[in-house]
Amino acid sequence: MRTYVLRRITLIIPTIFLVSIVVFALIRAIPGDVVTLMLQDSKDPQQAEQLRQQLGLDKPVVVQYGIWLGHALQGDLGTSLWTKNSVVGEISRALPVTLELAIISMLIASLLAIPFGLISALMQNRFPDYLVRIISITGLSIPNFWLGTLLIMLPAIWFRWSPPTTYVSIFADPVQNLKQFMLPSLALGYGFSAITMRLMRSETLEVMRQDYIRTAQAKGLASRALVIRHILRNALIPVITVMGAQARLFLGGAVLIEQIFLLPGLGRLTLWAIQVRDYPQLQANILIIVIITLLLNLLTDLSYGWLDPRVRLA
Amino acid sequence: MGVVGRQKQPQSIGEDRSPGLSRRDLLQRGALLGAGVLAAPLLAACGGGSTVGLTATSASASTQPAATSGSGSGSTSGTGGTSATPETSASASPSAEQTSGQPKKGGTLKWYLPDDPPDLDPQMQTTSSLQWVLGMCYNGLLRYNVGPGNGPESEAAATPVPDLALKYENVDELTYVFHLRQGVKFHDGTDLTAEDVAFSLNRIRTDSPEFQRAYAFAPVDSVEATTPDSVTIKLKEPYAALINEIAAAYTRIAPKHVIDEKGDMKQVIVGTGPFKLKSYQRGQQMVLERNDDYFEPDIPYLDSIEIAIMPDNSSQLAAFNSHAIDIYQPANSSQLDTMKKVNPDIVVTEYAPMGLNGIGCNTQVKPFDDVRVRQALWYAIDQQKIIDIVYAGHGSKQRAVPATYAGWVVPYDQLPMSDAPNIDKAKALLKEAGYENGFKVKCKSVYRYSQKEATVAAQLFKAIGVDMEIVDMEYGAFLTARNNGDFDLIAFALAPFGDISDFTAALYGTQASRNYGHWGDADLDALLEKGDKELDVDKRKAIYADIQKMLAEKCWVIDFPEDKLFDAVHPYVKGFVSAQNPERGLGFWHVWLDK
Repeated sequence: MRTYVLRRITLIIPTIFLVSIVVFALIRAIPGDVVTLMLQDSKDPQQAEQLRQQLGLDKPVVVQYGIWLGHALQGDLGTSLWTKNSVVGEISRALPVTLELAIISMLIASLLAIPFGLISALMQNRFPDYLVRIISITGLSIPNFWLGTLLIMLPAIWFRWSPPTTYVSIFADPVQNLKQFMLPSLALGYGFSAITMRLMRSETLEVMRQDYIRTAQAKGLASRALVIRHILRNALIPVITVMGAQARLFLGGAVLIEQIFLLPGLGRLTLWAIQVRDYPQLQANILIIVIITLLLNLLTDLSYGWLDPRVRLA
Repeated sequence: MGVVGRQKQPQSIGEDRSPGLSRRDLLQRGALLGAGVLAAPLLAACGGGSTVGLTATSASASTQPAATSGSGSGSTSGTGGTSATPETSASASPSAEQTSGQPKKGGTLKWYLPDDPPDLDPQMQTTSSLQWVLGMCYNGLLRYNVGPGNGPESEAAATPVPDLALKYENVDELTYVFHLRQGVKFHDGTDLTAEDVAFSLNRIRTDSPEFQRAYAFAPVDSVEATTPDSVTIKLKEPYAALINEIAAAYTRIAPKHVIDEKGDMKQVIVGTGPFKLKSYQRGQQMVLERNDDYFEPDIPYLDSIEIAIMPDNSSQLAAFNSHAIDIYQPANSSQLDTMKKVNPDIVVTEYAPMGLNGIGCNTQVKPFDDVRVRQALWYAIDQQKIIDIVYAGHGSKQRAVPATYAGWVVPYDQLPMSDAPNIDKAKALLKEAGYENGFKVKCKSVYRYSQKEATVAAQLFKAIGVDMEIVDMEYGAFLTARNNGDFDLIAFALAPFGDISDFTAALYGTQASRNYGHWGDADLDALLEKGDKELDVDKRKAIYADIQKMLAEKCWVIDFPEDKLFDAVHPYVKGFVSAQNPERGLGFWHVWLDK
């Protein structure tokens, strides 16, 4: 087990290395560079050249990558081309926001998906089942940014209420913080709950048709114990796997949701870095996202063994 | 100075297409400069010889020396500005619709910016978000007289008034001496000195791309602190725009000791202005608080200003509707309808964003090298249709130069080819040029600049057989394509600079830095050069009328009409100037809250 974890963690290093090369090349390959954006309306080539030199962008890309890699290996991911702040500092401010958003969204998604999916299966082809299926198919169809826009526009029009405009850390003011995270988490969580809800329903139906459930019923097990101990536990295994795999999608979904709900998270920072071609910032953001994704995948894999004794034995 | 080859650093224009500044009056006054009889707009007393002073605002904030010369009408001739009288101006008393009652002190104004300034240095960048913030924290030697009652489009607003300099002398046409206000303190408690002023002006003209305003002081030879309370600027050649450039909000005075210590001021705000920086969390919020040591008594009224960084338009609207922010700008007419449903009592001001929108033709590419093809495109454009469809009826026809340059602008119907749309003429021109069956073309565009107008234009072009495809681009990619001339047609927008020559020369001078489509020709260059050297205002106006006629006729840019936008404020916000112009700074100096 330990060797397995170690091996997986070691594999992260070459992955990151490869990703860093790809990102380094891609961001420079897209049309429009940071110098143009900084000079805005002027097309004076002399000024552009001068600025390129100041920013160290006049060297060949391979050399630039070598310089970046050298610094990165010493733990220095560089400074933003625009703000001149350390990119790690910017990330350390943004990451907690995105993590909180992801965790609350995940909670909302689970709280919606698991009970509703279960009820839907237990009451198959009855009214509650239809209702849950409508809710989930709606959640699948509505893009989260549109839902987010509605969630912000409609309360303002109906109740003259909007979420706070300024982010406050949960440690500084939990109430204000939750007020701000409530709507974005809902917008993000609802979409994710839909997938899980449908999976939960089908897995429950699957488990309910298993022989051991019929046996348990036959020996007269109370239905509550049957549902909780036998159906729910077994149905949850694939659901948790899928949720783990989905968790990284929160990082992508966060880009638009953070923009709409004014959360200064990693998604917004990344979008900004792309828009203004802040190469070091973007490079660092993507590295962090890759590392998080790889760790999430690892955790998901490990959770199989924890949840399912059959995998543990193998 | 030769205007044609002048390399301009641009004012960046934000999503709001923040307008530029009109300096028409100054230009008239500037015209007197060569004759050695410069009449400063604010002069109260004519000194002996060629010395002309500005009067101090002195202790009383309500007594502003008012412009009485040269600023009255667009037709003031070159000799009209030799005398002036001090006058009590209304600059400190708010305008009628925005104010009833005595300003109240206190309160926090809640406001927003769509994005963070790139950094906080007052002397480098011209980004509009930065100008909004710094305009409230710094002063220049002079400033424009924007204030309640003096909206950004008024004559008075184009008038420089004393700021850190109480007066200046024009010793000869190459020498200016500015006399500083005494007892001014920076936010860190240190006194403002002539050294700070000289250092700041010299820093602004640093020859490096980071200093985007260096071009404005290119004709300056030296700036020195000649006495503890005076600064002397020496010019290489007569420069009519100097006073304008000094008064522009970009020309801010910063403390030398802070820059000596830190190298730059990208992270701090230490100005002399009415507000100082209390806190700033990037991407979230900036809080400005009252500077109790500000030299103008009773100003500002507000205790603080909370500026949320809000990139998303729907959350800005929601925040305004729910009173989480007090001001919304700019709004279009459909947004206004929603706002008025939620809060029927909001106060709305209409204004022209002053930019120029149009489709630029790349004259290096066939068929746009042929003037007849460009003229055909112009004849296919129905500006009224664009006004009706895109601006919901709020707009007016315009060509050649933005309406900002009131007094200089040749009316639409007096320009050549004002009988557009005229499909028959357009078709005839195409036929003459050998494109009887029309052609296909791509037009590069970006959402924030006139993409909607271009979409309507594409429909209109169909009538003459021109099939224009709108290519939607990401902003950074768009800028690169535009600046490299990598387009056939391009839908773009530009904010004007101060003087009409700044706008026309920077865009159409054959060597100019904003001439993206190889526009202009030798004839136009000659006219621009002539217009820059002509010191007589009326003669200069005639030259600029010729220039506009030439622009209208050559159709290098197919002009879109001028649109109208709106500022909306909640009714308790008083003394708000719809100053859609960061170049003027100002912001919320006179704003107070009636609640």
